[in-house]
Amino acid sequence: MSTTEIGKGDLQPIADIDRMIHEPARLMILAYLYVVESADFLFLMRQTGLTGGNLSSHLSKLEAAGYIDIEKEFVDKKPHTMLRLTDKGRAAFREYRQSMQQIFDGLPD
Amino acid sequence: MSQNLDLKEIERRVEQSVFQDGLMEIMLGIFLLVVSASFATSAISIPFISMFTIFLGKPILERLKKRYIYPRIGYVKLRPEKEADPKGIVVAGIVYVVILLGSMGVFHLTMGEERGWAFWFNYFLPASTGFMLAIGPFWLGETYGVKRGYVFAALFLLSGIAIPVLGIASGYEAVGLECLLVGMVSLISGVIMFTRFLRKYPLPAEGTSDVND
Repeated sequence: MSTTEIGKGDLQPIADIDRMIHEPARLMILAYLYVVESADFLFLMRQTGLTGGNLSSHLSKLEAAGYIDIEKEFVDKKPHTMLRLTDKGRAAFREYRQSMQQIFDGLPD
Repeated sequence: MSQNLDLKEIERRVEQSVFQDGLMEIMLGIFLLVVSASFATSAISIPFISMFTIFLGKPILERLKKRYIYPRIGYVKLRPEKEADPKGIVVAGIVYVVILLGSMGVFHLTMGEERGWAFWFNYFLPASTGFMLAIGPFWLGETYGVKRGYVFAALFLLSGIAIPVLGIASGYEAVGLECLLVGMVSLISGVIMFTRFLRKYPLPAEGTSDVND
């Protein structure tokens, strides 16, 4: 996305916002994964307050975009899923934050 | 919304969720009560207890968490720079012994052999032990924003100074009493926190704890 300062009427950066991240539930998931090394499915469910199905669907989209890694394993014969942000996901999240900051900073009071 | 995305607040919330179960307080309480008992009976070696705790404390805590905590609230791995380093605990222990020995020499030189030794043993030893024991909880408060870490640090510091100054006990007895006092507070608060945790987070229903394919 363009990193130029936004003036009045120049709204192109808003159109360039990463919609994969901009969705509130996915933004929440990425924010949690951004501040930790990794987390499992249940932890994210508890922290975000999303239902299992909803969280699962958003995670699949984020994985397809290459923003998160989903690692499945079996612990005591039960499936266990660990999630972590990829380098691409981390960079995209950082860029999203900067873009949003610039957009709001550039708006008149 | 997004421009106010407070990652520090999210990080703080995650870290506090890791320390909300009370298991660490229970472990600390048991450790301090064993240390206190060893001062009273001289039956158990304190270096042995310390080494046992440093090397086995974390695996035992992890086992308990796997059994009771992770099935309820899930598992999170904090960033590596936020993890406690056991080497740091060993280094702190060595620094503490060096300070104890060095201060003993200083008191001997400045106050004379008999008075210097009496002051060091009766007052400095309990106070410095309180200070050393306060470092861990204080670090917890500073690094993870766990407020009760400051309370435990203050308890250690105050009891290390107050017990000998008020004439309740001195020397090893004061250190033992200090461990007994803080150990009991830690154990009781840990048990209360753990009970609350189990009530607040019942085990989720089967099949809701993982990604659907």
